[in-house]
Amino acid sequence: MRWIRWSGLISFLIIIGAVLSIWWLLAAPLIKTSIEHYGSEAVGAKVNVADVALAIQPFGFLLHELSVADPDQPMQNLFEFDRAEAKLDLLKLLWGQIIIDEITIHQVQLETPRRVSGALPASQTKEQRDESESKDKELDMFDDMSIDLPSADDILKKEPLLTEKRKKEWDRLYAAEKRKLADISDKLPDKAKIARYKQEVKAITKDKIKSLDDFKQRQKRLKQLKRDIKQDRKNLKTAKDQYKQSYNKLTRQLKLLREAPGEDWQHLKSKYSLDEMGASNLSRLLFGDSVTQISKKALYWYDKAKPFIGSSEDKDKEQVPDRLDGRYIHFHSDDPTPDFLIRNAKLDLQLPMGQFAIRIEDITHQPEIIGRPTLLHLKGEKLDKIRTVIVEGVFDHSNPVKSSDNIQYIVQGLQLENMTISRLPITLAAAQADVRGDLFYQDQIVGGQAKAKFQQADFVSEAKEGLAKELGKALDNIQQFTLQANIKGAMGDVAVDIKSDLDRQIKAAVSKRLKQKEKDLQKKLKRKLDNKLKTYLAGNSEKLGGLSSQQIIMDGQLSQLDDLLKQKLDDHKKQEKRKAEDKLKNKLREKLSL
Amino acid sequence: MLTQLAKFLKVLNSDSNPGQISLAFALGMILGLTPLWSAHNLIFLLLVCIVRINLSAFLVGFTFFSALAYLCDPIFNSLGELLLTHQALQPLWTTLYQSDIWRLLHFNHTLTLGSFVLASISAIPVFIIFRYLIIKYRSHVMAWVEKTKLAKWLKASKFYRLYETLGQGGGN
Repeated sequence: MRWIRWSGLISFLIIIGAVLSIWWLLAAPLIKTSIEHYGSEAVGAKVNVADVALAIQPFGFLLHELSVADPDQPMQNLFEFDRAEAKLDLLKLLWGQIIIDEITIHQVQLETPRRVSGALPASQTKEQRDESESKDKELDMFDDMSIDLPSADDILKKEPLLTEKRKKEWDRLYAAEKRKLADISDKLPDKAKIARYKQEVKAITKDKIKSLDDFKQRQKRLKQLKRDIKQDRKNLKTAKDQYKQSYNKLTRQLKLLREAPGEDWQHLKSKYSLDEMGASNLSRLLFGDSVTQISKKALYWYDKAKPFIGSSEDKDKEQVPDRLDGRYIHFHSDDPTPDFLIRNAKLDLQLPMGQFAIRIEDITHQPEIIGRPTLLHLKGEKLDKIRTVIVEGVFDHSNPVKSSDNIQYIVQGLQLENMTISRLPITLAAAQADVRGDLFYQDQIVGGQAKAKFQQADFVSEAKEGLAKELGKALDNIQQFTLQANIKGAMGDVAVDIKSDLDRQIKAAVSKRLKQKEKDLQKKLKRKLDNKLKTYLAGNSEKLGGLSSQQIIMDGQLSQLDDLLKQKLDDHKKQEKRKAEDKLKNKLREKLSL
Repeated sequence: MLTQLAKFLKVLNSDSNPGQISLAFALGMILGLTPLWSAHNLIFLLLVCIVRINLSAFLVGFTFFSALAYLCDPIFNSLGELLLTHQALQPLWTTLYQSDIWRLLHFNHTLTLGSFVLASISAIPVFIIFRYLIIKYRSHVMAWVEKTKLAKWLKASKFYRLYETLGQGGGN
């Protein structure tokens, strides 16, 4: 029996040919369905593709009319483009890797309207809810930029007061010292005990000594009594020292408590005055909303783009192998390639202000394999009301432990017209600005700064009264100013700091009005702090007075005990001798009188 | 599928070479257990086409082991992971990784490598055991089975009529 049938070779070629033909026919619709299905899943809103076509030479595909709906506004697209041409590396595709050598995307547009809603059925996923919640939080955060100074009650409620802290410390110290003194007091002699000592000493020393034995007996009793008195004196002395110590400690603490409102006052005065907060608030009042809006917009787009530039969270997810699909393990290679890579993407972005040319290099979700960052180059020239825009971005996730994103931008010749800059009725009717700045994201912290130079500025105020009127008047004469904005914080909880030389220029003009407001606030604050101290001090001086008088009593008691200890019992012989001398003196006196 | 099963039983009960049937079954096992759209399967498909084996047995084996693969995938995946991450084998994998042909074979894919290694190791014993079982079946069991009540009942069924029809068409 022959084992080989050469006719089978024809069957093999027919099978392969049939499979390739079917694949070729089905590939384009499959790619289209996959982009729509997985894209919708990733974005949380509809992704639509009009048509996909495959190309053989060079191998690649052509996408027509792709639109990605905005999950937050379903009647609007996040972006859409007209056409994309991609060149794929066929060999790498057979290796199981999607390597796009070059993709050119034409006519990308942002935030375009949709004819039909882009919402997915039951699209309000948890993730989306979280996102919208965090956005609300952001808005709340920026609402802090109030035009009014806060009330005295608000300040006292919000600020950690030294007065309250020291009152608590005083209460704690007083309780501790009181406990110590109570323990000692139990061992001290009372008035009755001291009186008894006096009686006993008198009885021993003053009464007539009848014999030598009696003398010895009394001496022994006196010795015993003095031992007891000494012990009590020692206790009294220790107690007196403790009272003195406690008194001093409490006096010191009370002094600190008395000084606290003054210190609080100085602190609050500087914090809630034009010198510190007020001055920076002027530029913040004017430009806070605009800077906030721009920052929010920039962070919003950064957040949207983050999944495409390979964040560390994505890597964590990826490292969990899917058991049924398996995973590719990569080894050292002279030309390492990840599972997905776009080597070069070119986009022409169409915005209302004009056309931007964007080039992005090395887009991958496995940047650690290629060891290079994703680079972004954006350039827009001769735009409507902007001379030049240049953005350079470096998204470096090649080291998973130390990933960072950095964007630098320059905007030159920005023509501003009728720009509502804040909630105040003041508009920037015209100005020309040059802006330069950067943005970074590292260790979960987003930060950045922008420096803007405004020229030929023309402010218009419609305010008839109050601070806005004063500001409007001051701004009338200003044609040039600079503005520096800094942002820093965790994503979704970013603090904005704004500085401007406008503060210096308009401070004098508006200071009169603000000073009055500040004076009223400070007066209220001082009164409230003084009242607080009065309440806290009530009774504390009496407590200290009690300790002081107790020390005086103890001094008296100590002196009495010292006197008792000085008492001595005369010698028996001396007593006899004195008696004989007295007798002799009496006899002599009788004879002389005769 | 019923047709293929009937054809397979017909072949099993015919005078076809037990080696051809068992080789077809072993090749069906390799294609069934490993991911279908892998480059190495082209080689096995070529073998199936040019080596004179029983195609019904191949299709039955392929179907059976494809279903079994769903249960065994976690084991294959773990084995592939173990082999590809084993320290002693790193020089080998690194060398193979530099070659376009080996990359084409997806040797660095955990499921592909794990399933291919296990299927290849099992193929020779499966071939020998199956061949032995066919011979034993034909000499001892076939005559006895035909006498049983179940066989008589089966002969009266629709399935048997199909079996007979195909039998007239002839196997491979």
